[in-house]
Amino acid sequence: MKRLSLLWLLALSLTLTLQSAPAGADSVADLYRQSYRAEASGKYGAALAAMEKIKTRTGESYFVVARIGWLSHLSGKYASSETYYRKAIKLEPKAIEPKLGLTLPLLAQKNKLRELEKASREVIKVDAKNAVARARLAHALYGLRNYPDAAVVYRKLVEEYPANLDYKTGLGWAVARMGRVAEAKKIFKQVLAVSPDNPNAQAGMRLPD
Amino acid sequence: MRAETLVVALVLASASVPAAAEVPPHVLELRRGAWDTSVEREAAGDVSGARQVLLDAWGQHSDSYEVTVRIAWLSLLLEDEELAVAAYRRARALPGAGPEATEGFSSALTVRGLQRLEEGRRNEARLDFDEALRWSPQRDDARRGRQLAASMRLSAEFWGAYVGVLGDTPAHGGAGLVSASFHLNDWLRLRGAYRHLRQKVTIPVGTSQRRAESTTSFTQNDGYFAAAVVFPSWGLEGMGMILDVGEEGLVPGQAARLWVGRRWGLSVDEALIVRDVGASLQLTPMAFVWPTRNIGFGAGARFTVDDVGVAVAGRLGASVVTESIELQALGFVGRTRWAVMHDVPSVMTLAGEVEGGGTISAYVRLVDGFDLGVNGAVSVLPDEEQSFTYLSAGLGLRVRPPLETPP
Repeated sequence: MKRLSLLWLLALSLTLTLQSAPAGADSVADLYRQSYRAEASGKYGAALAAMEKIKTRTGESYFVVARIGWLSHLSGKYASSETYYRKAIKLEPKAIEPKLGLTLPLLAQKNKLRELEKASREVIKVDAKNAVARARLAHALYGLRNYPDAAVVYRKLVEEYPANLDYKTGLGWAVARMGRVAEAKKIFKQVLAVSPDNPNAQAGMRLPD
Repeated sequence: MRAETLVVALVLASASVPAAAEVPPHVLELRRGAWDTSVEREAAGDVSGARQVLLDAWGQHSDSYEVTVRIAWLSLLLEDEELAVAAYRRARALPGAGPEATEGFSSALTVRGLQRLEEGRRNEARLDFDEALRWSPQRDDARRGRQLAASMRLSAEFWGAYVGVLGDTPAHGGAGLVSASFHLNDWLRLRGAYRHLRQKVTIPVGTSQRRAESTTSFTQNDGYFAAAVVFPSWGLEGMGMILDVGEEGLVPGQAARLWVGRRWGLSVDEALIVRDVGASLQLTPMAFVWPTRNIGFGAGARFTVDDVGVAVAGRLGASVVTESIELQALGFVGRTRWAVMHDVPSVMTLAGEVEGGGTISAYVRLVDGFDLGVNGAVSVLPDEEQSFTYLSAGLGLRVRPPLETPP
C-alpha cells in the first residue's frame, strides 16, 4: 500500500511540476522529493517546510493539507496538525483517512480527551469495525473516567485481536478501575506471560488486591 | 502518511454502528466519572443515589457487564428484587460476566421468591426458588424457601405439657396433643388435632375446725377437624370440634375464621359450643398489621355470649418470625369463658372462666424440617369467692417433611 501511494504521489507531483514550476526555484516535484527524503530520515521539520512551500505554490489541495497535518503531528505541532486535519475533513467529508488522522494530535495532547472521544466516534460512525479508532475511543473513555464503556470497547477489541497486548492491558486497567482487581490481574498475568517486561501489565500487578 | 493508518482506514465497515456511537452527547457527559461517583455514594450510605447515577448514565440496558451487575447489586440492597433479578439475568449474558453474576442472580431470585411467598404468590415463588437452585444447587435459603413454597405441605406437631391450677381447688397434671396440617394444594388446607388432659384435683372438705382434703381426677379430651381455603389476600376456615369434659361428657362445637389482608387486615373468629347449661357463642374480631416482614401485631376483643351473660376481653398480640425462630405472644384482659383457641397448641382453654392472662409460644428451628416448640400460658381469676391461677408449660416438636423435590 505504501509503495502504491508513493507511486501515485510521484505521478501527481510530476504533473503538478509540469503545470506550475516557476523559473529559478525548486520544482514542486523536487519539493515533494525533499519532503519524503526528510521524513524518511526523521527530519520532520524539513519535511513540513517543503510541504509548506508546495502549499504556497499549489494551494490547499486535500493531499497537501492532509500531509501537512501528518507532518505537523510528527513535528510535535499538534495545534497546527489538528487545524490541517480539520481542513482535510472539510475537503473530503466522506473520507475516513483525515478523520482518523485527526485523532493523532488529539491523542498526543493529554487535555484533548473529549475531542479525541468525539473524533474517534466520527470514524466509527462511518467505519464501525475500525480497530484503531475504537482503541483510541477506549483510550479517551478511560481517560475521561468512563471505565464501563472503555471496558466494553477494549473487551470487543481483545476478542477480535487476541494478540494485541495494548488492548489487553487497556481492558485490565479498565476492569481494575471498577474494582475487579482479581479479574484484572488475570489479564495482566496473561500479558506478562508473553511480554515479561510489559510496564503496563507490571504496574497492574502491583495494584492492591 | 503511515501505511498502517491507510490500511486500517480502508477496511470496509460491515457491522452496524455500535450503540455507544449513537449515545447523545449529554448522556456521554453523564457517563464521565459516573462509576466513581456511584462508588463514592454507596460508601457514603446513599445506595439509592449510587444506583441512580448509573441508571441516569446508562439506563437499565447497558452493554457494560460491570454497570449491569452493579445496578443489580445496588437494587438488591434497595430491596428492588424485580430490577435486581432482571439486571443479574442480563449481566450473566454479557461479555466479561464473572461468577458474581450467577451468585447474585441466585441470591436475587431467592429474595424475590421469599417476597412472592410472603405475598401469597406461591407459584411464582416456586419458579424463583427452582431457578435459583438450578444455578446454585447448594443454596440453603433457596432450598428452605422452596419447601415453604411447596404446593403440597404437611406439618405435624407432638406436644407434652404440664397443666396445673393454683387456688382453692389446686390441680396438677399433664396433657398431650397431636395435630397435623396438610396443604393439598396452594389454596386448600386441612387440619386436625386431638388433646388428652388428665389432672389430679385436690378438693378441701370438712369444717373450718377439721379441714381435710379429698383427691379426684379430672380428664378432658378434645379434638377438631378443619378445612380452609387460603388465598393471598383472604381465607376462610370451617371447623368442627368435640370436647369430652370431665363429668359433663361430650360437648359439640363448631368454629369458623375469616381473614382479609396480608400485611394488614382483619380476622374474625367465631366459635359455638353447646354445653349442658346452654350454648356459648364467641366472636373474636382482630385487626393485624405487619410493619416489617418479621414483626406483626394484632389487637381486638373476644365477646362471649352464654347463659351467664355477655363477657368482653381485650386482646393484644405480637409475632416475631425470623428464619430460625417464630414467636407469638398474646395477652388478654377481661372475662372469657371456655375460650376456644385454635392458633396455639390447644383446642380449648382448660380454664372455665378467667379474667386475664397470656400465652406465649415459640418454635425454634433445629434442622431442616424439624422445629422445637415451647409453650407457656397463665390465666387468672381474681375472684373474691374463688381464686384460681391456671398454668401450663409445654414442649413440642414440629415436623415438616418435604413432599416435593425441586428440580
